[in-house]
Amino acid sequence: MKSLKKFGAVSSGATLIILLIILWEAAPRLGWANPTFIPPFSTVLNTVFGAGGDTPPSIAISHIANSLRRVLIGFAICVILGVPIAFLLGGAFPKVTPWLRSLFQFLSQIPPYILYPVIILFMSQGETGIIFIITWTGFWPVLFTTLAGIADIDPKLIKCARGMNANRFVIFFKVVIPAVFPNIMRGIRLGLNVGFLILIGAETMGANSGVGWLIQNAQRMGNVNRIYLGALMAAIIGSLLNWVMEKIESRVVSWKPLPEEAII
Amino acid sequence: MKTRLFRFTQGLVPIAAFFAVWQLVAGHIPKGILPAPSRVLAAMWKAATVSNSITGILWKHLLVSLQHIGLGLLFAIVIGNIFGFLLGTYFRKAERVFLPFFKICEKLNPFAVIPIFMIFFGIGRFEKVSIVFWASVWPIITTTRETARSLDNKLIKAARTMAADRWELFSKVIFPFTLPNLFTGLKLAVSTAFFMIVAAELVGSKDGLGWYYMSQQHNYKLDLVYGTVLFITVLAILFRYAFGRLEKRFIVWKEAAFN
Repeated sequence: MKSLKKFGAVSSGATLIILLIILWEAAPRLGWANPTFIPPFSTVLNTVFGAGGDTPPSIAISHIANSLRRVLIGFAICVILGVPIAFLLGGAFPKVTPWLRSLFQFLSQIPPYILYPVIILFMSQGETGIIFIITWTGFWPVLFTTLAGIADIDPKLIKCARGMNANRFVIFFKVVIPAVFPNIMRGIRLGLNVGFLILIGAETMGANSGVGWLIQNAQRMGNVNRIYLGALMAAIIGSLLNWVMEKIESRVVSWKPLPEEAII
Repeated sequence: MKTRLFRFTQGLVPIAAFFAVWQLVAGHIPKGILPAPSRVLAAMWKAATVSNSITGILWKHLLVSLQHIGLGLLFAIVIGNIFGFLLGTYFRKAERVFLPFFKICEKLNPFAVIPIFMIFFGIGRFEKVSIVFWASVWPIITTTRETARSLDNKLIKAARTMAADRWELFSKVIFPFTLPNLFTGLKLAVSTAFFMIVAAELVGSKDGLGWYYMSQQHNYKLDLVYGTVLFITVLAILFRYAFGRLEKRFIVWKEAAFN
């Protein structure tokens, strides 16, 4: 019964998407839209899967793999840095944190897209620069949400644990981390989302591979099919990344429903 | 109770320290990478005040960018809230149909959308506005929908027993309930708008802050490149601050309830 309900939900959600794809296919063919500017869906897919398409699957996959590699490396670094720094600031040195807040907010508000050319000045154009900007962008949501989680821990919980003669390690591992965990997971998901956002931007500015480059290159060459292909790829990868993170989140943090609000 | 002065210094000191370190570091780095902040600020000051120099066109470009942002945000607020409320309150069935599509659109990278919008709308003002709109409408739809959905059913039942009609239900129960979170979405949208505006104006434009930034970069005027980055950052912070003040003005009850 439950699975039937789920199937109903999925199919009703898919209906609209399928209808829109049919509309996309039909509109240029029926002359409602100019096929030069809006090529039918099948034409866009044919650039990959059709015989003699200009983006054969091997090339498409290598671009996707490059993009994914960059975003995952940058994201891993920002988690490895962000979570411990948040714990240091929020847990170990709570007095220092208010003194740094304004600086963090200032830095986090710098639009990363215009920071990227500046970063290129320091690190030559290429992988390092792209990974750095992804790390930079994703770092702030991870830091801020984790910090907010640490600040929100109910002091009663810690007092209670102390009352049960728990030492600092026990308090940290059995009280603090479980309490902050939902926030960490949310911060990580947000970080991955913004990291992917800036990835495409950085790749359009300076890269020689990747989905962003594909779009930028197609735009330069006036290859309309490829522009749509790149957008499709970006949409699919972005949704997949988010979906995977949401699944992990709901599996790991099963006890707490998460609000959708985000902190950037 | 900490005084305002203390808080002010607390906010100011780290930023001052940041600039001081920058100033120190800039002296020890090969030229052409990192100009000292004093030079950056001086160049920006000149760009902002000397009106007949080549660089004095800053304000014109700022106005253009603000127009793009303002219009884009305005459309995003109106349309995003309408959709958010409709899907979150009266059309729950439709939500199931729309939500997956919206989620995909939300995750559809704005950078990937830029070339498509150029094809659709041509290059120009409308395209820039629509990019800002596209980037900032999703956080608004999401927050509005989620909050409207999380509305306590008892409130609606209570209002119904008092013979509230649909409009009263909306204006006196649902809207006030969601208002605090509308601002969350709004602040997020403002950040995104500033995030995207430069990206939108970098390609195929003849004015706006993005164009200004790009032209300084092409001329390798590093002071102004760094200056523009700072300028846009400060603008974004000011806007967020303004919305924060607005929020406090509107939402007196939430503050009172939690203090």
